Amino acid sequence: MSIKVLQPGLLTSMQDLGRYGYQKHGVIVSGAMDTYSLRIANILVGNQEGEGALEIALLGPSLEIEKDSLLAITGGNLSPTINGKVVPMWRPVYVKAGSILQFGACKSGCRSYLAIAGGYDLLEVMGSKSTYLRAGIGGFQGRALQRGDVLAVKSPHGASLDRTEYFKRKYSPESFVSSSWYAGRPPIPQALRLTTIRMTRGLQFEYFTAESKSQLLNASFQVAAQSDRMGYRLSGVNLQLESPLEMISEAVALGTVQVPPDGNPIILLADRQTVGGYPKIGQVAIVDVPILAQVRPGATIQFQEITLEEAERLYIARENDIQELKTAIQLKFL
Amino acid sequence: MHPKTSNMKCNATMLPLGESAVLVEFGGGIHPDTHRKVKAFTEYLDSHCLPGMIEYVSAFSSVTVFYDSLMVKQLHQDHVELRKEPSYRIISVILQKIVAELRTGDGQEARIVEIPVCYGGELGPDLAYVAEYNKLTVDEVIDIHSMGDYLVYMVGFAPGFPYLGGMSEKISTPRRQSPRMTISAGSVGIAGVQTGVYPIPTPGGWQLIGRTPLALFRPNENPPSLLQAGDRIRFYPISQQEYEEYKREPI
Amino acid sequence: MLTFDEIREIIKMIDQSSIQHFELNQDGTQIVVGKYAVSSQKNTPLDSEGVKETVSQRSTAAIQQESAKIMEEIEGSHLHKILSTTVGTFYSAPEPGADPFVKMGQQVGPSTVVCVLEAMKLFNEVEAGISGEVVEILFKDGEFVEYGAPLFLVKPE
Repeated sequence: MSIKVLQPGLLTSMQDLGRYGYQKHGVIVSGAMDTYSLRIANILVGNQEGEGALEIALLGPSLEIEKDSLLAITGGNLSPTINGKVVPMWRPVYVKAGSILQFGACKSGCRSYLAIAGGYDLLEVMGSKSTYLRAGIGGFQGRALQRGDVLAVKSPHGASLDRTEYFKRKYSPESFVSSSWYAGRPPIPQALRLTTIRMTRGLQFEYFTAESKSQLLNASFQVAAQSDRMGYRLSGVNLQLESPLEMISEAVALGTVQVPPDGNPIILLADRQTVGGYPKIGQVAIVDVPILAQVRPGATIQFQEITLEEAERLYIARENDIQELKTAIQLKFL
Repeated sequence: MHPKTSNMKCNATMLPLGESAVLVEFGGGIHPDTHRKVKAFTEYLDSHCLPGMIEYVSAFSSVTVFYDSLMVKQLHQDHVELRKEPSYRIISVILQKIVAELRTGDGQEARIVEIPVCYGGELGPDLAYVAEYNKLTVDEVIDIHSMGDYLVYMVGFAPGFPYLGGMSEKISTPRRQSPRMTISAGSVGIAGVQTGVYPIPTPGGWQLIGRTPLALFRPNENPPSLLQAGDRIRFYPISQQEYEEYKREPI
Repeated sequence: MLTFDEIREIIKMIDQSSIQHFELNQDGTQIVVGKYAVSSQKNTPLDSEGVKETVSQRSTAAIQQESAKIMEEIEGSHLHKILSTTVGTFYSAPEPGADPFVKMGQQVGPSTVVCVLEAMKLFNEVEAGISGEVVEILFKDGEFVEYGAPLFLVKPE
């Protein structure tokens, strides 16, 4: 049981929720940029929510599904089709062997996630299936997918097997069959619209000039073309410190907004280094990181300040929503 | 070797790094005494299970504890004073208690790791420049570098990359004007008053003085990093032939 | 006596054929299978003696009664009601700001999705179930809908 890569796309890599516990050795977390979408994709097909899934960026691949499979596509809309027919997203889809799953133009967001019932058959490195591109480890041979790669898929079991069987019974002789329901998702950013990202104050916020502090929260920033999985580089406003700050390296976190001497802030994302030495002006709320991860280079964002308590409340509310969604999906298969 | 200072008391400031991490700042900058506090704290974290904690990252003068706020809130439901507090306050209270009881003398003896380095030649293309810049001979640079006693303050930047303290200022050299696109794994370099070893191929502007056949990053071993914060390092020179042999048959 | 599977097979065959009425006598067992329009009130061919196993597709008395009731309800307006399939929150579009699934006056087919009902973060699509023209939308976005509530009125083709 496997998936064959006919066209690899721009950057298609295996990711999960990240490699935790090894940052003290300098090993970065990696993992999906939009962990929310990865989790939902896995939940839909009956996998553990942290199972590995393909992260498909901007320009999607063309894949041959070599065996009847249950899969789910979430995240940004990269116009997925199966044998030329539009595939609905955010729901389980049962696909016949030999089908060609192809991604096309980027309609909203910029990263899709493809989960398959049973999960991809890959060895975990340091407890994770995420690809650590720079070190060349994890995921599929430590690299992004290439033409001709064949990804082995594990046989579904437990919930993923039940769901596969459920859709197999519903199958009609078309290329695929999907559910009449779909999972709720956060708003996926549109290319030309301004996306608001909530943040809390960073540890060095007070050291910036009054003008910089005000601009951070009132101006809009463009996500620069050099942005990648490591971080989003922003341009538009030059943020300056009141006076030079003596900083020594210390840990950074997912969503840390740091400001190098050139004044253009960088938001640290999935492939961030473990430590940094630049002043931190802000910290993106955990719930908004998946939304930010769907903002395309070239698009604009603006920050909205919230309190730490509010950020935590939003996080807990989202986790409760995911639990509720999980239960609702389980009920569909009773 | 630094003599062990007898049981220093620790105190630290707790600072939230977003809603999922607390930075525990010991203060005192880059100094072996500060490092001892950091080390005492991480040794405690290594041997105790803190409910809700995911992992920690230690740095020169701070340790950042990453946690899951939902789990922290749930696990402290019974705590009358804390249950209504946001998770970072709950975590801060717990960590503050731990810090207050730390004693720096309690830690284990530092491990000494010896690192063979083939200095100069193709493997250390900037050795001659470092010598010239400091008005020394190539052999003097090798002597000074390999006679130093280095402390691993922290590991970061790249997997297994040690931030070392203790290099002699006699061989300090500024970074290259134009950084190299890629530096081979094992390269030993100098940047300012720092020296370090690249565990994986990386672009960078360090002056490369040699290369070690030792693998600093070992993804299939646990721990995956040869060096740990708190280790002491000594470099010793080997010939190109020894380097090749070592590469063929690692000890 | 015929087994359950055999009976099921017979029904299936008849269903796929153009046969309207079928009777079988075997070992004292009589099977009568008939295809009847929902509106047919009479024509219940149950008058034989002995053991009878009567199987019919859509003409049990209960269904007839129920359909008659629905027919009666919509008789006045000649309109079809699309009913809610679940308890949930009504949404006319797939996401905020997007075009609605259907507009007033729009022609729909049986499998046209007309709205979604959100329950526990899951969005359930509701299909028209009939061909016709949408003449009334009975709910607004965000309104709570009970199970079985009429959502749309459709003028059948």
